[in-house]
Amino acid sequence: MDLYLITGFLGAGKTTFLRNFIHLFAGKRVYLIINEFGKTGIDGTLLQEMGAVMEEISNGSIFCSCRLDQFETVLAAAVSGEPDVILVEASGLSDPTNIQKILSQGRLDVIQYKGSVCLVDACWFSKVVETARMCRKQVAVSSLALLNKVDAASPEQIEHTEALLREINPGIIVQRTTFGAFQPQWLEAICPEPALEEAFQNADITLQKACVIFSPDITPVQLKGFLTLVGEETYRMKGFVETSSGLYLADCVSSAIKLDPYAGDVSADDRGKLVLLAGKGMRLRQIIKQAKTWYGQWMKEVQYG
Amino acid sequence: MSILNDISENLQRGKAKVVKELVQQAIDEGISAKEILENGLLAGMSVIGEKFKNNEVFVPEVLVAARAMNMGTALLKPLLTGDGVEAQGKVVLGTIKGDLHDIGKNLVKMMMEGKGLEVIDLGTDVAPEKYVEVAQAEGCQIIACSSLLTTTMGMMEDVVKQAEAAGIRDKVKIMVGGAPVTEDFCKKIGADKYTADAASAADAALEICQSMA
Amino acid sequence: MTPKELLFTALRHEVTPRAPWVPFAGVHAGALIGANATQVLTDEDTLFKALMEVNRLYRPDGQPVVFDLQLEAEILGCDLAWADDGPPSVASHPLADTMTVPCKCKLPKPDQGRLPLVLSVMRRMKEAVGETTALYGLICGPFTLASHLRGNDLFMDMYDDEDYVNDLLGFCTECGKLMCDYFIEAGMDVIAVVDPLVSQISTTHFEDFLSGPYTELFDHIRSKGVFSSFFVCGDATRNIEAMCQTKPDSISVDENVDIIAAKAITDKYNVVIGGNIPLTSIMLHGTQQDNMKYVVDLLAQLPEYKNFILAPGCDMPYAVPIENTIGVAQAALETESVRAMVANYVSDTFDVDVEIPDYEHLERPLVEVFTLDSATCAACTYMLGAATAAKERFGTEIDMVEYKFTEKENIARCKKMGVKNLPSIYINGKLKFASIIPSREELDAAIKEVL
Repeated sequence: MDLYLITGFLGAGKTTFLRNFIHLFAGKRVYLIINEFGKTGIDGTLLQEMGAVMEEISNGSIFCSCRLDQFETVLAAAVSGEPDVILVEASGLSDPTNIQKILSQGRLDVIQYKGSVCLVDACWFSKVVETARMCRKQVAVSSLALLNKVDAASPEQIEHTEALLREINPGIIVQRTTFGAFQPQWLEAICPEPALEEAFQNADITLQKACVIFSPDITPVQLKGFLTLVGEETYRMKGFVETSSGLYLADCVSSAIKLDPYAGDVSADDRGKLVLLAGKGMRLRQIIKQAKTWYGQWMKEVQYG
Repeated sequence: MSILNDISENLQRGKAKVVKELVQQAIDEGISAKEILENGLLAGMSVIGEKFKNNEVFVPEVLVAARAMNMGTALLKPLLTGDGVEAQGKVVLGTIKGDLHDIGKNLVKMMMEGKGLEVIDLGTDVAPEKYVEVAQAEGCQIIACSSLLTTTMGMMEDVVKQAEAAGIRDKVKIMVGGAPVTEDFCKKIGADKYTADAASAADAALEICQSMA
Repeated sequence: MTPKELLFTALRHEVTPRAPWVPFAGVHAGALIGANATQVLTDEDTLFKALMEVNRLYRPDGQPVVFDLQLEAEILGCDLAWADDGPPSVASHPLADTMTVPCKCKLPKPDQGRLPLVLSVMRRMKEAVGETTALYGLICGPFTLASHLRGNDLFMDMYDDEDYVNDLLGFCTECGKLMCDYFIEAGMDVIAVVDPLVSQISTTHFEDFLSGPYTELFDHIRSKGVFSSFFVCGDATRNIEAMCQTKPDSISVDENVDIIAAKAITDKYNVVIGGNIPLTSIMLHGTQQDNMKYVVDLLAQLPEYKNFILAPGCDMPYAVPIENTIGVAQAALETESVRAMVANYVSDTFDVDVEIPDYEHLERPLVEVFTLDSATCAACTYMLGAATAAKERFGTEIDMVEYKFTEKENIARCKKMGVKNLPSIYINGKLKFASIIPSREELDAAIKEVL
């Protein structure tokens, strides 16, 4: 069975891309492994039509070494279902080299690793690559970069981003696209890259994660106020929050705040919990502390790590 | 005046926000910037310096006090220029080449600033010629070198030599300090002044500047 | 009793026949074999060879395998600046602008950074000398490690966000426990937690932030069945009592602490205290006589050898003259005879008449070996051994004689000839080899030069 890895920094459009990408495997049995920020974006009916199975990994980046055991368990479960294709969507902050570690252990050798495609936000990439070390790794392990959202980027931005990508991985093939659209002929460009060199193996201890639990009497306006205040110091904020006006989905990339009512099914466990991810130089802890002075009465609990 | 006392007291406890508010209040009450600086902020820092010397407070206490002082002086700075307040002297400071330790050096800086001296901080890993170059360009009365390593303290001798070579040895005093440095070592390399702790260094620097004025 | 057992006896708080001696030869070990600090800390064979030489020349009861507080920080992403004559310094603090606690999955693993090298050398040392010498595994203390990661802001955080400091120290404590496990598994007999920055904070701060982590660490080490030590640098006098309360088996201090006064406190808690030969003024810049005198004077202040270990104040400077450490070792191992040497050396009334040979008109080359005591001092034994072997090779072509410093007239001879360092070899009245034992080739060449 074939395994494709889908990487890309938070907010680059991996979920939208997946919706397109999965159509390439029509008629095949597809097994999706999605990180915690991805599941809500995948339409249940689409999966049904495709006959695909989806498994989500929560509570941490999918490839964070501390969750490797969990990932391996999920992968083993996928294999036992004997799908034709396994698609793994790695969290935007996760270390993509970990999949090579797992596959090289030989316990899952029915899996044929086909390679990695990296989703790249044409407007944002040059900024995030400065702060998030994982970004470079994701580009380095991918043979194909999909330069997404080119409609929103200037020609200079596109050129600059492509130059950056080639600087990190000279052999990478770059295709420009919008809305995560994927041409079938690009599939050939996805192939395994050689294992990374030592220079990439330094630990990055600057990834930050926090989880804020809100009390359900917070109003959407207050919640939006919180998100606006805190957003700038994060890469990503996402979660289903019960408010005084019903359930809302917060889905923000940095200071681009998106907060909408949500009508879908959400388990009780996931309600009220906002997950925040940040990286080097971001003042996540400080801004949350600051937010407490304004929104403290609705912030029931803050967990770090 | 009690508000100046309050500033001093709060500075000693590292209450930066309170210090800032009190300084603003003092300005609004019409107390001169010079007085707020000298009898409020510097007075508080001086107490901290003395306590540090006597092993009553330690690095964290000094750092938060200094931060509070900086919050206060930031408000005063625009007012001070026209107020007849001039720096007591000018010091160029840095940790010597090959050495990256800066806690001690930073403490010296804070203590010196707490004495009203202007300090040009060159950071760590500073080449001997750099001290001399800056001292010359900025007209400093003092070059102050810090070192934590037995292997780098020898570099300090080069600072003395470079100052001689540049012909400024009579215009600038060279101070040395740091864990392995001793009075004997200071004499041996021909430097002018060794002090055992940051607060004493600031006292000595002020004295030197006043004697050279 | 093997040297290792002697040290263990001390760590069990029992009386020992002499003071156990633990030279903290970190990068200095390299100086014994002509390797620089970076080579010692990055090349496995060099490190092993250097440590074996420490073991051979300084006859330690216990010795550290590597003294580098940057080992963990390097794995956690700190950049290091390397030096030829000292351990590396941390050049960047990854958390300086990022107030976060790293994920536990980033904790060091045995295959990361320089850990494979260190663990391998630990195993080789255990195999080579572990029967007779106690081996120390040194880990970076939580407070110093936290400051490596966070930089100087850590001090400010202690006021601004106590929870953060506690969480970060918690991570660093986990790191320490893991390092203990790796080191103990590799055969270490004593785990020393080295935290120089402890001297920079108040006792209240120590109790608020560090009593918990340290108690946890020492409990962990105890549960693994090995001994523990708590190393500090600087004037930590006021914190000694709080350190004792975290229950280490021993504490090690430098010259900034009055060790006799501190011992009154550690004795109260039945904790061993170690130290505190001054690194710079005595070991680095003093003479061999200064070193021997310092040690015998220090030991003379102890009513008995209990709860005490003789050691340098901290990691020895790279360039400590070898003869100085040899002098210290001799004073530790043969305290009474060295005390007599020192007394004789300094006595002004001393006027034994010795005759210095007429070196210009010798019949044949004269090899003179000056030793502290070739019977007890390892370096002296090797030096005399080299000369004896040369004598055997050259036979009647040369004369060879040994002068032991234990004899009054030999001290007088040394004074008269200006012999400063022992052991040393003089040929025809000229100093040829001091402290470093010459190879057979070197010694033969020096003799042939004057044949």
